[in-house]
Amino acid sequence: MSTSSAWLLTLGSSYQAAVGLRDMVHLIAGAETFEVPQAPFYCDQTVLWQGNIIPLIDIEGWLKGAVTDNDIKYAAIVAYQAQDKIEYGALSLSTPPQRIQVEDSQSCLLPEDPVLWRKISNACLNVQGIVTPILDLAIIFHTLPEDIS
Amino acid sequence: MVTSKYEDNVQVSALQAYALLSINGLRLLIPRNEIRSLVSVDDIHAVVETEENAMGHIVFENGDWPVFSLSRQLSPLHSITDTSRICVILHIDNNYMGLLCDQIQNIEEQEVKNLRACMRISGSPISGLLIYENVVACATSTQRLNAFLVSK
Repeated sequence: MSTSSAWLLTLGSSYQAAVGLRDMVHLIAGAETFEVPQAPFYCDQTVLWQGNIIPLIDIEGWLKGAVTDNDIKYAAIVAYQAQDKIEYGALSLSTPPQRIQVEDSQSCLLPEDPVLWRKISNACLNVQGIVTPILDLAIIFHTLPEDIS
Repeated sequence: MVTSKYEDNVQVSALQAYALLSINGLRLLIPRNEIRSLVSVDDIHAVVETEENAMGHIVFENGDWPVFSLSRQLSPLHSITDTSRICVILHIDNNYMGLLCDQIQNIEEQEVKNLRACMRISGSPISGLLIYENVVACATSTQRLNAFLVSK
């Protein structure tokens, strides 16, 4: 049975998800954010990291289809492959990520509700009884919102 | 599952000189060559019969042109905010439009990064972002801004 490491992410008060160990490259506590008008409500903030403007996504708000009143306590900087280069995005978290060991036997079906999970995740794990989608970061950050909704 | 189109969304625009407008806390970049003049808000006439979403109009070069007052989210307002000081006259095709702002400053040629795919909404006037003096400024153009305001 093969095992691997991942980061368990707490997305606000209602959901959790995971990304691969190498997908998360930095964590910013109490990040200063900058608003971008006329952007999707769940992605209208940016953070600065290493001289770059990084889009910050509130996955919980996106899943709920409404603006959340969560403070942005942590911004997880994540990396993904975009065409032939590595790009970065940020995920809004309510607690620091937790490193976990996962086994093949934890694989399970993606939840049917909210339906968005199936569009922004590429696999799913059962972590201590909680269904935990694995986020597809390239889809999340590198696709036009109208092509996902 | 969605298939990403892998938009080439990290390109930078060509070097361009901008004016940086402060609008209710928003930093908005407009190409400097699209600005024709700056006038005082005292020269604005209250709305009578003018373009929808305009809060007033202004006489400039023998014409009568709409003036827009915008919120931080770029929503049209129907009055001049307490912080508005300047009306920027923007040139579009053979017409003009006025845009109220609190402050304006020239900045040298900059490369603006295109807006990332996840932040793009069809019809948004924002085309790119730039870090300027440790703050994120949002780039637009008169053409984009006008199309956005007309569609609202």
